[in-house]
Amino acid sequence: MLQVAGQIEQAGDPTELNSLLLAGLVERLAAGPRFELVDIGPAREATIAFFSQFHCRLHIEDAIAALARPAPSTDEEGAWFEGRLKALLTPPASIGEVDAVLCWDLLDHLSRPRLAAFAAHLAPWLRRGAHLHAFISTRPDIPGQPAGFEVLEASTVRVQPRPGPLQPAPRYHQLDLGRLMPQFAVERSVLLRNGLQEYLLRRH
Amino acid sequence: MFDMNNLKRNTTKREPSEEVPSSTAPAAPAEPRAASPVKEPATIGASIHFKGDLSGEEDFVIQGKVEGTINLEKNNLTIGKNGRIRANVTANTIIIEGQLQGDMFGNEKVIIRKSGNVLGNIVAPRVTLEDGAKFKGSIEMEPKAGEAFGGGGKKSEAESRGTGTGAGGTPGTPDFKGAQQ
Repeated sequence: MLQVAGQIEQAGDPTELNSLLLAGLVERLAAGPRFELVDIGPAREATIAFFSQFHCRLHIEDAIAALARPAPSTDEEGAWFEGRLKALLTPPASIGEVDAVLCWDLLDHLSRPRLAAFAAHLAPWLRRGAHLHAFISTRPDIPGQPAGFEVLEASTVRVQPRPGPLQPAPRYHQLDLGRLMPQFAVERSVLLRNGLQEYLLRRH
Repeated sequence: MFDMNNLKRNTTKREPSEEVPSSTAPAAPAEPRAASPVKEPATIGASIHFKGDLSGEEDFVIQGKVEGTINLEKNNLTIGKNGRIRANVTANTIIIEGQLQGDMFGNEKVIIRKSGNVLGNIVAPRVTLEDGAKFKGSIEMEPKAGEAFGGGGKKSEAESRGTGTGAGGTPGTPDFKGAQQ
């Protein structure tokens, strides 16, 4: 079969992102004697290997897939999601001292009410001035399930898309984030080549 | 009561008489060679359910269920694929292939294999997690002096991705304080 360069890659193939804001965040965190980081995603070999270079505490929540799941019934959506947040995102002992949270593409898979509830649940964990890092798609459609992310280097993130049908993307803008996540302010954002907008939010 | 017969001590000791004579052996009178014992880790079998404190001075493999605490300060602990542990664990190297709920203190490293499922916190200079492994908890990264970045220097890429299993154990007898079920 004739394959043309650029078409060989299947939808499920991993890609590597040049993540400028993550690199900057890591550099800032590493400048201190020690830092505390929350990864909302699942444990990944490369991510753990990368952060094992630093004096830090890495909390792995492994909650993205479960938080992105639809509620059993739309009637109980709000209460159901609040329950999921409490069950899945258990606060670290050092509540209020977390320096950064890695959300990957979770925000793309949260409705507006869910995004607001997520931010309200998470905010008390972070110290003032702490950061939240996320990718938000600028494309009209996104995969139905969150992708897998792992940090290869400070500026390189490998993305493994999950198979499945596409769904409409919420395409959150900076103003949306300000309204739905009032505990945070967008510090910087960068549009990456693959259509993802990389965000670094700062805890008020 | 704990049945020591269920503790499979896989110690292989070759008797001098088992030495295979070599056809190319020198003609000089051969001195009796002392056989060096090859010590394998002690094992808790899959049918054992142990509750209590477990400590010792040799490497240990757990395939059964253990609840309580495990302390092998200078030695290595492997939780096999059938192992189901609900305990805080201290060991030189901790390798998890089964399930563990509890905190881990690895003096050297903690390795979670792809079949591993861990709920708890880890404190160790090196932590390796194979893709496919399940882990939820916190990891206290404590790179050794000169290996850390920022406050303590950055490890080389090879160092940070280092994997491997622990070294052999030292002689000793495991100490059980608890009850077998």
